[in-house]
Amino acid sequence: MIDRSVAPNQQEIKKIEFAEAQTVVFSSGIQCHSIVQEDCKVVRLELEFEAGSKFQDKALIATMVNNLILEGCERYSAYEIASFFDNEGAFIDTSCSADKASLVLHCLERSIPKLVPYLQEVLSTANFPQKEIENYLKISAQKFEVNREKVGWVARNEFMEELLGKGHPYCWKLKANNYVDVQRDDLISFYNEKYKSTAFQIYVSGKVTSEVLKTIEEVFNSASIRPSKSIDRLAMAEPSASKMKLIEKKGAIQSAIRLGALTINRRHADFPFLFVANTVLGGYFGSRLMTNIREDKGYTYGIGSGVIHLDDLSYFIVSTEVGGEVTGATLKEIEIEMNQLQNVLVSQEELKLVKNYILGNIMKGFDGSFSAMARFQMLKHIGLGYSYYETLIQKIKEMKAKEIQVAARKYLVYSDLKKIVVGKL
Amino acid sequence: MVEFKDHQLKNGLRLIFNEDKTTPIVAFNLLYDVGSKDEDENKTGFAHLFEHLMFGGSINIPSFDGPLQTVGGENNAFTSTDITNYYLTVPKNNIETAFWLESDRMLSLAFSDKSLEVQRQVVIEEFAQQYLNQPYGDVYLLLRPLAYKKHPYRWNTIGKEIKHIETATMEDVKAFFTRHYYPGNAILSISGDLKFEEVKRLTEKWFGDIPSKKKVVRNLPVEPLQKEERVLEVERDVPLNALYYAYHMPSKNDADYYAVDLLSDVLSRGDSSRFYERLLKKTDLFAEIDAFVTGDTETGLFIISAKLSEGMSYEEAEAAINQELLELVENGIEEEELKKVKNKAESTFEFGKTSALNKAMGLAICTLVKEPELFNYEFDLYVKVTVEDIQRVAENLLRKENRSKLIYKAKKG
Repeated sequence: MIDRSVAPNQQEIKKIEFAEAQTVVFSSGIQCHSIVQEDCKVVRLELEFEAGSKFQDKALIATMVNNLILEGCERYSAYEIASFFDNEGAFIDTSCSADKASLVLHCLERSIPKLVPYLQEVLSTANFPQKEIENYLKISAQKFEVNREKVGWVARNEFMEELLGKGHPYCWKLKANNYVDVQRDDLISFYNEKYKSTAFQIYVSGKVTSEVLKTIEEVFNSASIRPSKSIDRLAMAEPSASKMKLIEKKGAIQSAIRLGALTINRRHADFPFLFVANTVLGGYFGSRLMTNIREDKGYTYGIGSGVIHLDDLSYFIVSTEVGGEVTGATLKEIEIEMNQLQNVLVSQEELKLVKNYILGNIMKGFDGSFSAMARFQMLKHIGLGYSYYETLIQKIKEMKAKEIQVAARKYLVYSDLKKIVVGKL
Repeated sequence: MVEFKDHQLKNGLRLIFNEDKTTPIVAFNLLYDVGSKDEDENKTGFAHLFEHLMFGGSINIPSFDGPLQTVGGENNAFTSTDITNYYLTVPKNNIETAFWLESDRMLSLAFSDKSLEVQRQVVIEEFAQQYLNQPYGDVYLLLRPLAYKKHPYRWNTIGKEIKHIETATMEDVKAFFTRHYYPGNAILSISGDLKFEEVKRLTEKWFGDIPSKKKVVRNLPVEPLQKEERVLEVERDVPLNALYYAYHMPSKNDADYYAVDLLSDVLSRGDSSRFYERLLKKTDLFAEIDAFVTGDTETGLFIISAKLSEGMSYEEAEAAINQELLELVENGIEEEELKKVKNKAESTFEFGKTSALNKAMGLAICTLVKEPELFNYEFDLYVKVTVEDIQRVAENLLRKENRSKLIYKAKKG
């Protein structure tokens, strides 16, 4: 008989093997980064532009340009473009964050020679037809009406303004009138400035054969490209003075809670300590916030905390949706957990668990070429090489409970947080 | 082609293994053949509540998550109408921890009162967050009982109503475990950089001594043929009027399942699809429109869902949708259009084979539905579909008498 009460021997995670990206710089100035995965038939190709919402002068412009690039160009209509990708069984998506904007192609490797030149033509001759703009505005205005019924969405929409203050480039709180205020010229000038003939990054993963790379190089090397403009650093944030914003919503069964504060970035020497301290607090399923507020009290389906890194600033956030009656009680428990982390050393057992959890999670981040490329892309954004992970792993392995406590006292202070509640308090 | 090996333990547990040398982690997927369709109609939401309780400690191990996280692993689970599926990933040199944890909770749970009380509350909050406190969140709570009169698909996985969760007792929990959680009712599927002999040895070591049980024969009530259209009208505090059609469709074991799935793709997959191009973009009638299949193992639903633009009438919206459906039934589709949706299906399948977890989960589900080989040949079942099949299933499916209609009106002012 086996003794089931005893855990099997645990093996230490010694080394994490990375699938590293290869980078080629085309003479056009475009950088192409690739990671090969032999055992598959598909390719993921991302074109990433310095064209996030922080560069816009008016709400919605960055997102709309990003979305509408695929909605018409000199030679093809929106329908023809969609059909071209659909016919190949490919998926072409757009994404736009505060910093970057991307076009992402998922397709079978055999479709690459056909799709990549086509994508380049669409990208470089996009013409933003008026009727597509109107259609987009009509549909998104109605989605906005649906979204603002959701407490979680409203809290997210308010969060950056509370954190950074009105007018900060990272802060674009959406309002109903944003959807009537967009002109075609706004889109065209943003497109000319940020996409057209501007250097961008290419991230390609999956079945990246030498033919695939050759096609990409031929297509994007011949494009006439000027280097992208250097970006001015953003103004320092000037958040509002109030620490608590309550938006009451009649009839809401649950309240959405968002708490946050600006914090240090990944390049800061203290970052590994903050990273581990945050994981203990609310960074994984077994975290203290989950254990206390979900698994012990049953106040919520989920609660978490995290450190979010934008290109020019980083912030700490706690986020949850809880039963309306326990909103106040939840805030109290979050405060208790944050204080606890400052006042009492993390036990050896919990420390070991969290360290190993993080190491396993880093390892999982390199499962397959698509995940590995996402890790590389993150490194590229912070301007560090793979040594970032080597250092981080080393620091985590050596970390002492005392160091986590010091980080918590410095960076995880409840009274420093801006608080938003949507629902009831 | 995803290679796999297959083994069955004496107690009935089925093991499927795929060797993947390219990944540093192992995906470990344990599927139980129990879903919300196996629930008593007076105790709905139970399969899902039970999934939560599976994390509340087992007979010999007080915590499931802690020991797994300590060895660098991570896990989750989901419940559907048909299955309850537990999956985890772990660095390959710590794979034995996964066997230890999962086998102990198959053997027996701790059944602590505290865990039941807390998870009951968590599930009530989940019910509130996903179904009650979201605009349009209760649509399927309304649509399923309209479309089904006898079959247990008439309630949602979350349950018919919160009251069923509130009144669940420890006896109910124990009875549910005894009835559904045993080796012969489970499929273990693993993908990772391991050797089959080693996986087999660990499976025998940890699961081999769990007592076998006779498999309970599932005897679900058959849904009587729907003979006339059903209509339900409700008013809710939402910004836009919405409209839902639900048609009964073939089960996953029926060859026509694949034709119906492709039919939904013709209507609404991708920006060149019929609904997107002709209804969403060319008319001002809709803010959103979609067609999809629920994907249930038994006879599921083919659903059309739409949100109407501000100021548009139900008459106009329905006329436009019905015109599109009629067009399909009368004129069918072109070869090119069929080729397009098959190509989409092909790339979707190929992306589904790029991670260990997707492979482990896909192999387990295919084994349950039919056999593990299905994971490799399922795409061929899509390839076989002809334009004639599409027109035939459209004609058969898209009849008014086969339809349940939900008119979901926005409350004025």
